[in-house]
Amino acid sequence: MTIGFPHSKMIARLSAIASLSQADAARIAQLPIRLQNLPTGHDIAREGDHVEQCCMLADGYLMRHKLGAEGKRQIVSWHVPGDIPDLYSLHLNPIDHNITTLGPAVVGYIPHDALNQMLNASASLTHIFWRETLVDASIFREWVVSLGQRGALARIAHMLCELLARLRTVGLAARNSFLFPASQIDVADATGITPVHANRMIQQLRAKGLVTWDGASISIADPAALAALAEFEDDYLHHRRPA
Amino acid sequence: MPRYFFNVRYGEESYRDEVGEELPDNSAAWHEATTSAGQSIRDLNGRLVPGTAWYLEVVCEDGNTLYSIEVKAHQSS
Repeated sequence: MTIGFPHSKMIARLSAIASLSQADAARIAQLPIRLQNLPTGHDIAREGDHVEQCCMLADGYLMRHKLGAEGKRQIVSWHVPGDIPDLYSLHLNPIDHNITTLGPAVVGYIPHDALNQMLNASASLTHIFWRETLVDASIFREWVVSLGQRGALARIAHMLCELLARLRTVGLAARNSFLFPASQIDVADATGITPVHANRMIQQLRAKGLVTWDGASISIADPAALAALAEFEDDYLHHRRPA
Repeated sequence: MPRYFFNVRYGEESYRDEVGEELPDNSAAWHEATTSAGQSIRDLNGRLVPGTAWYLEVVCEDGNTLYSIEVKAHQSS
């Protein structure tokens, strides 16, 4: 059986957190996924939208964000290929936040009907998707800890450690390097600091020799030291350990 | 939009902003300076020592200092 490009990303992503049977992988491979190329800053869904399809990221990044006081944006999560950030919409519709592309992205739209049919046919897949939403919630808890308890330098370091760990599961962080087209303002809005402060923290990470960050290209020079600075422990990502 | 540079000095830790940030006007730069100052002092995480001072200055593209914020720590004996 030939598995399509978006399907294989989804299978790789789910396999990172759960053991996927061949039968379930075959069910995913049969999902109707409509691919679409999207430009930077494209809103896939806005708060209040009623949607009838889920969006699986096949290439690039997505962010979820909400607007707070005075229209200030808080980015609440990043998404890497294989993620389905609006999986919630199967049960929580209309959507309660915004989902936007960070840089150009390729997404695959999957009709709710097709997802529901697939899940109704497989209790094990339903459990895996349930696990996926629990992992999503765990990532949010860690984000809350960052915003509430970590200093700005550790927040950014933690964000980079998490991106690296999540990108590795879908084979996108060779030699600890990856593309991440976030502006200083995006980083600031994700970590709850001003762009000026974010810029200063990024300079500090560079000066410490922990990362090189050149435009959209990030390379983690010393992942262990960066993790120590961030107090990053990857347990909360609940990735399966290699047997 | 004009570019503003935000330099910080505290003890041995001095940071000269080489990148700067484009902001609509001086008042936006002041807003950014005060918010950043609050966040930077929070990040000192208890390391502000009595008898020292923490500075932030906002420098314009022409090199002139537009604003400065100074936080002096004292211990009354």
